[in-house]
Amino acid sequence: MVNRSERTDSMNEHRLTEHRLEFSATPRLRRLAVIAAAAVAGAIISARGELAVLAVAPLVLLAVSPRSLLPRTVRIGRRLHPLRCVEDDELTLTLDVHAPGTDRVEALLAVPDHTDAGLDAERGGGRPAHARWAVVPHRWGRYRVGPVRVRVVAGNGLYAATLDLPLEQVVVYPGGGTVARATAPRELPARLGEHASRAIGSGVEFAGVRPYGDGDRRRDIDWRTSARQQQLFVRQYAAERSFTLVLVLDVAVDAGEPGRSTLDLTVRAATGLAQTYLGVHDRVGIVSLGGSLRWLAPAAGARQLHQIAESVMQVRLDDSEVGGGIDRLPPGVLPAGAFVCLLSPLLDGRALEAARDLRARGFGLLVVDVLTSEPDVPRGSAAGRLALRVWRMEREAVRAELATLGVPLLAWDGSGDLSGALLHAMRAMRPEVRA
Amino acid sequence: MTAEVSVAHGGATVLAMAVTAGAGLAACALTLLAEERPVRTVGIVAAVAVGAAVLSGWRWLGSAATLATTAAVLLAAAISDDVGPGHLVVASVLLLVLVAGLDRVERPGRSAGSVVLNRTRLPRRAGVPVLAVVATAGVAVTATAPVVPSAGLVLLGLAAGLGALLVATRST
Repeated sequence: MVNRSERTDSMNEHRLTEHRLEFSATPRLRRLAVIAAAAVAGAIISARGELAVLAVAPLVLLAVSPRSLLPRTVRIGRRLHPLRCVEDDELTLTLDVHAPGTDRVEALLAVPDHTDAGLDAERGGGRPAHARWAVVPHRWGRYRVGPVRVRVVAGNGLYAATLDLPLEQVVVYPGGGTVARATAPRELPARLGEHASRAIGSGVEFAGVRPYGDGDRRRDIDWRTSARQQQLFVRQYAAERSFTLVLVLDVAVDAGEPGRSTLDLTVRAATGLAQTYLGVHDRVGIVSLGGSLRWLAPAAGARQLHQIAESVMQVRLDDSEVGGGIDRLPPGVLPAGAFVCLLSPLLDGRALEAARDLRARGFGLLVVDVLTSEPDVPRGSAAGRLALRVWRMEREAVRAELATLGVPLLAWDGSGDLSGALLHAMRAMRPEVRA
Repeated sequence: MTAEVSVAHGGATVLAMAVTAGAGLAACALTLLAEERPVRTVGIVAAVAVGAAVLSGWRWLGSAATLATTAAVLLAAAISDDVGPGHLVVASVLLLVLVAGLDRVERPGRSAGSVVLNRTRLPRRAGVPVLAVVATAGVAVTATAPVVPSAGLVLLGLAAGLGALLVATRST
C-alpha cells in the first residue's frame, strides 16, 4: 500500500522540468587564482623558486575543475498547493531537484509580507533532492509566494549557478469565521426559505391552532386541544421564508495596522455574514462604496458565495477614483424588504449619507463601525491633541446623527458575534418598511 | 523542525567561523618565524583582516584577507631563511582551509532560511584538496631535494605534464 506522502512525492517527481544552468565563477575560484598568481609572481620577483610551492595546490584545484565538466542542465519540480485558500490556512510547497554532477544544491524561499513559511521536511542525499515548506498566509489578497531561489554549486565549489523559479499566484480569501447566527426578521417577503415567519404556511415550526375547516388534513388535527374544547382544532405552522441581506462595504479609506485594518475587518465581516446567510439559503448581495461603485445583486447559493468572495477581493485594488453613491444602484440590487448591513469606519460623510438615503427609502439598517484605532498624534503636541479631540467629536457627531435616524450602530473589532446587533436592528425595523 | 534546523544551521556557522579564523590566524602566525619587522607587520595586518572578514562576513574583506595572508607568507618565505618549503606546504593547507571557510561565513553564503538540499559526501569533497596538498608536498620535496637530471626524470616530467593537460581539457 502506498501512503499519501509517497504518492505525492512520485507525482512531483514526474513533473520535473529541465532548466539550463549558467555557471559563473565563485569567490573561491578568484581567490585561488589570486594565491597562485601571487605565489608565481613572488617566486619570479624574489628569484626563489620554492615560493612557487604555494601556487601548486590552487593550480591543481583549478586544473581538475574545468568549466567543460560542469553539468549544463538541472531538472526541477515545484508545486504549490492549494492555490486558493482562506486566511491562516496552510499551503504546501514541494521542491524536487535532480542535479547530478553538482557539489551542493541550496534553496531559498522568498515569502511576501504577512506570510509565514517554515521548512517542513527535507531529504538530502537522495535523487532528486526534496524539500517541503509549510506556507501560511495571514492576510487575504492575491499575491505570489516565492520565487524559490535554487543555487547549484559545482566544480569543487569553483562555479555556481542561480535559478529563480517563480510560483503561481495564490488567492487568499478573507477568513469570515462565524461572525453571526442567521437571524432574520419575523416578517419576510413571500419567498421560500428556512426562516420561520409570522405568516402561516407549511413549515415545521408550530404557530398555533384554529378550528377545523373544510379541506384541512386529518393529520394536522390537534387531538389534545380538540378534546379539551369539544370541537376539532388543527395545528398551524409558520411559513418558512428566505431573507435578503445586502452588505454595503465602505472601502474608501483603510486605517489601522495591516491585518486588522478597517478594510481587513470589513471584508472579513462581509465574508462571514455572506457565508452564514447563504448557508441557510438566504439571498445575499453586496455593494462596495468608495473607489468605483461595485455591486452584486442578491442571490442565493454556493455560486453567489464564490462571487461575493471574488468581489471583496477586488476592493483593495480600488484607488482614489470616486464612484457614485447608493442612489446610483439599479433597483434590483436593493430589493424591497431587504435588510442592509453597512460596514464602515465612519471616517467620512459618505457612510452617513448612505445611511440617511437607505433609511429614507425604508430599509432596515445596521451600521457596523470597523475602526479599532485612533490617529497617531505626536507626543507632547498640543495641536495634535486638539486635532484628536476634534476628530473624536466629529465621530461622536456621526454617531449622534445615526441615532437620530434610528439606525443601530455596533462597534466591531473583529472578535465578537454580530448576531445580537443584527437581531436588535431587525426588531427596530419600522412596521411600514417591512415587506 | 524549523527551529531544530535553524539551531543546527547556526551551530555549523559558528564552527565554520572558528575554523576559518583559526586557519587564517595560523597562516599569519608563520610570519612570527621571521625576525624582520616588515614581515611581522604584514602578518599582523593580515591577521586583523582575517578576524574582521570572519566577523563581518563582507566578501571584499574576505578577498583582502586572503591576499594579505598570502602576501605575508610569501614575504616571510622570501625574506627569512627560517621559513622553508615545509612551512609553505603547511601555509598552503591553511590557505585552502581559509578560502573554503570564507565561502561558508560570508553573508551571501549564509543567507537566512536557505536550505541545503543536496551535498556530495565528505570523502568525495575532500579528494581533490587532498590531491592538491599531496602535489604541493611533492613539489616542496622536489624543491629541496638535490635532483640529478636524467632521461627517466625528463620522461616523468613529460608524463606529468601530459596528464595535467588531459585533466584540464577533458569534457563531459
